[in-house]
Amino acid sequence: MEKRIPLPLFRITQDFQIVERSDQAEHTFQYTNDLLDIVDADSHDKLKAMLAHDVEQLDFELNLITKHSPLALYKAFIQKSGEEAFCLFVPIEEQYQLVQNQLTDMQNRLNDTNFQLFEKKEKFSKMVDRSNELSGPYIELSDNLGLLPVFGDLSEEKLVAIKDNVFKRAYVSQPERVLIDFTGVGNIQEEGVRELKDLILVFEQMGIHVVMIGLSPRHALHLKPYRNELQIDFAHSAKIAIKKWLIAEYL
Amino acid sequence: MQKTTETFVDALLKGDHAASLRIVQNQREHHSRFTIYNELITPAMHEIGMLWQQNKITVADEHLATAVCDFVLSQTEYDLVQHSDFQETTPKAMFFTVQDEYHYLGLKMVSILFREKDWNVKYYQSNLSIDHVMEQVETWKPAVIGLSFALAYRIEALTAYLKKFSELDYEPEILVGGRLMHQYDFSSIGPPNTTFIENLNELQTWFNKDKTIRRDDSDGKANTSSVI
Repeated sequence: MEKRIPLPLFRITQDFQIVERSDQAEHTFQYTNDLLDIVDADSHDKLKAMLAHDVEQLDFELNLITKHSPLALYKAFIQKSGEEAFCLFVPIEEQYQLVQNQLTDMQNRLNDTNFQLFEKKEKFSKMVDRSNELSGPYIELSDNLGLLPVFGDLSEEKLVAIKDNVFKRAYVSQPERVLIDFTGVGNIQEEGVRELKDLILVFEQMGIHVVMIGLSPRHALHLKPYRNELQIDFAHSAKIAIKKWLIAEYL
Repeated sequence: MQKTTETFVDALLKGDHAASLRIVQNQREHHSRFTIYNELITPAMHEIGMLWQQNKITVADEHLATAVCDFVLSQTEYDLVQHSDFQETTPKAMFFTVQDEYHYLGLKMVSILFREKDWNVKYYQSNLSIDHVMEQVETWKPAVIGLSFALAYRIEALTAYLKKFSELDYEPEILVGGRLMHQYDFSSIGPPNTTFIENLNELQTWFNKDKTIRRDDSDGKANTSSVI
């Protein structure tokens, strides 16, 4: 057997007794006659099972105990030759360790970021809900007139959020009319319009007449398809509507 | 869950985060975290260890599977975030892996199960030195300190930790977990209130016992309660 090969090489018997070893093997591992002494306890079964295979050549990973480390990963190349076998061990631990450390670091960072994002998302969605609730206050102008100014983009979520409060307040004050003011509304989403239609229908069923005010041409275009099914009035602005219904009431 | 375990192992080894997560989320609809950890994730990781023994996969494959599994575990923890407002009275538990020990999934599952039971939990997966751990313990004073080890040669490190814990000026409960628990007799090392936990079923037993003691706690000393 060539002893100067630059890797640990052992010639062993069937029961793992070392017959011969390379210089590098002597250099890397504690001197012992039993190969199992330098194999990690958890790798014993694997080594035995592998050698029991009916093949002449095989390679597999094995944890070994070196002079420097109690656990080092090696790739074992085995060549069987009659009653004996040659075992060549090539270290792979270092490259793995480096990559593993990096992987662990990245994983940790990703988890932290995920977690923070999740928390921020939770917080943000609560803020959006709250902001939606506050975007449609019901204001009692007089016994007969209520005002519902809507702020921001008109979305389904927003109308769902304001509906509860608005219906409750309208039911308590029982006005003849509600002015829904669109002056503060930005974009209108299609789902938002459907939800608005439902809101108006509920008002109608409660016997409350709905007047839409402050509609921009863009808003009007969105509402046009529902114009005929809904019993609503339109007024240019809050000023006109108030003059018409509120001031008239006190004259 | 046998069939699911096979599919899960497959997804982990492929490094398929999405598929792995989907499997666990589907199971989560019908099963508790405990059941999923005990009957899906743990057997899956054991199976992966076996595949290495059989030379069917490499250590690199194992590491990838561990990373994906870690990701999935983190996801199962997210819906507990809302419970993070702790009061002073909430019992505290701290978990960490022994230095240079990379088998951390078991400990992570344990830490999540503690959080699920409304404990105030700190979990350190990073490679903390023993001094750093002791500093944390002394300032935060957790009622439970949990650590795990899986590598036989790290037993000296474990002994060092346990010795340090017995020198503390208060008596935290120590939980030591790991698959090697049955191979050694640890009774001589560590403070008297050390429990060695080999698997999640034993953890469950510990939880049940802990519940009884804590019920008594509110009335006075442990096991003195007349209320049954």
